[in-house]
Amino acid sequence: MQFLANTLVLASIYGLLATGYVIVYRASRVINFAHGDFMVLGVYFFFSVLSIIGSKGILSSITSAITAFLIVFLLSLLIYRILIHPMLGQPVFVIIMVTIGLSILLHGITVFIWGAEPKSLISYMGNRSASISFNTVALSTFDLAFIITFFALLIGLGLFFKYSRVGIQLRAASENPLFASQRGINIYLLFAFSWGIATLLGAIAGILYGANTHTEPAMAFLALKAMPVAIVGGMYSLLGVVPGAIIVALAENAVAVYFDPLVSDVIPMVILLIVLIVKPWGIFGKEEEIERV
Amino acid sequence: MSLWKTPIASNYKKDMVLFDYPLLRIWVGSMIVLGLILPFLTSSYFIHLMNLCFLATLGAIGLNIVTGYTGLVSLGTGGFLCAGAFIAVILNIELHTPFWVNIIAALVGGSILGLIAGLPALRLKGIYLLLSTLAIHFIIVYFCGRYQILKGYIGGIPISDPNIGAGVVLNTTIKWYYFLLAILIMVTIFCLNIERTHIGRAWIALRDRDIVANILGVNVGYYKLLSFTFSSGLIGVAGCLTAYYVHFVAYEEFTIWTSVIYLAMIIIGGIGSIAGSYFGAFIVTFLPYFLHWIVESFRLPTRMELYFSSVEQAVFGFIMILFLLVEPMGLVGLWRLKVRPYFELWPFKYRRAIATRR
Repeated sequence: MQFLANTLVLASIYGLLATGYVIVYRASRVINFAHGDFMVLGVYFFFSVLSIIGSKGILSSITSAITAFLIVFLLSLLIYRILIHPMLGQPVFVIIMVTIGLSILLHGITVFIWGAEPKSLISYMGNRSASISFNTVALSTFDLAFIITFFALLIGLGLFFKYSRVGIQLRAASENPLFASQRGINIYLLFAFSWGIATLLGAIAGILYGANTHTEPAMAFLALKAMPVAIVGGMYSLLGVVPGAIIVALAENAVAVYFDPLVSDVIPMVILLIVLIVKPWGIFGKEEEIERV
Repeated sequence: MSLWKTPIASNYKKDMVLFDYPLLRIWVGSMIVLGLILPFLTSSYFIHLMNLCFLATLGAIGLNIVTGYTGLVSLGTGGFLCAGAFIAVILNIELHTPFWVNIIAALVGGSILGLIAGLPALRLKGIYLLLSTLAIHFIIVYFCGRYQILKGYIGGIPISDPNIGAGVVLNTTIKWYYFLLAILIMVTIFCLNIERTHIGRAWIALRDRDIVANILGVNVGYYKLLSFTFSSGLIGVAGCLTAYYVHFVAYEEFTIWTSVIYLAMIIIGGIGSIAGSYFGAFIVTFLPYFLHWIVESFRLPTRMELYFSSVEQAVFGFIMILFLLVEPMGLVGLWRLKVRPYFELWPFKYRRAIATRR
């Protein structure tokens, strides 16, 4: 049981990050390699705001989290405007290389400003992570928060994409950008918006993860491991994130428990390779979505 | 006759000249002469840096073949370098094979791994391929790390100076310099020529428009796999030589950052150009030393020295983005598209509107 609970927590972490990839991909057909670094940036902004406020407790944590989300959201919009917007229309891999460059740039800046050593976020927040146990399963508060946040956000985003005006516009823009723009939809605004939303999700995941364990710039690797999740579920499918995350997390935990903990870092990549060779459009992806040879 | 103009070829032999305009010939000639006499002019430390540049250039040429010529972006460079290095080290420890056997083994091993990494290329292109090479990178590095840990080499696996035959042991930087220079010149000429054969033209056709290439009779799958195989073999050799040169292999050195750095090299130098690989590799290799010099001599905050690697990363990222935004074809593109046409046409500004060479 404990094993399944841990898997669920890991799946929520991966799922939350993978949702960011999926949203950006749906909008602009780009994989954002800087996602992990935006996530780290969110955590460190949270950390800084918290230090500036100075007081501890749940209220100040929530205030600074919201401030940090706002800062990251605006920053990502700014970066989108400066770097990605002029590149639209270029071959996709050029944009991806820009995001790779952005990833090292942000990583360098983060380490330069905040240092590379691990920080315990929770001690700054001033509240402890309690262990909550049901029968035989023990989870920390943040584990629980992770699961709840993930499913709440996923359902919220799903409803948002399905019913809200902006959501419908987003789907239209991803279906056919040219037609969408001719129908009077401002697709650039939508792309920027989805970029910002994805970053926001990354920051939420980062803060929860950072509070649960510890915070360091190397956390960005987590986002790289979440990329297979998006692929397994299908880059185009928001719903596919759930089975994708569960498959990857299950495989990773199972290997770590029953075989060898060291392999667990590679398992998502092995799954990624297998899926790419066997069924590249993922479980829920549409076959014609991918540029075939 | 202008230094800048390519003379109109009047026969086949003249058309097939590798270095086609006088300035290029002067430049290449002087570079070769400079390369040959450089050890007599500078310090041993500088020669060491040059050796690192040469090794980086080998890898960059390999990456440029798959990314620049064939248009398949690869993030697996770190993995292939790691594979080459570990093949050499494992053979050296387990079987005590000589240097040349290890080089060949690194070539073959790298090629086979490249073939595996390229298999998804038969079905996919674009970003999905990028992800599969990323996956291959992590898998290779994991297996190498597994070997290193199981064998109990905590810091890294040592390897001794190679004996290249005829009693010559590469034990000084100067010997290494000439050895690497010779290998690099051979590889360069080979790659420059392969660009002009049917193989190279097929690769370029695939890059520019794969559907048209397919219609024109280019076997898409075969040439894509060939490109992957060839490039990763070359990168494997570069990894093997690097292992011998630094006497030491550790799997921790081959991170995703390694792959990104090689990608940065060909972006800065010029995608789809052998000369671009040279420029990129030299700039990227010297940049940290240059930055260090700036930080030390201009009394910048001590924090910059403390977190020097992060400053370096940020600068790399910045330069990479700058080139992608401003001049996506890199330094060579700057030369070919802006500088050379300007001087070629001088004192005029525009070419007459007739079909011209390229």
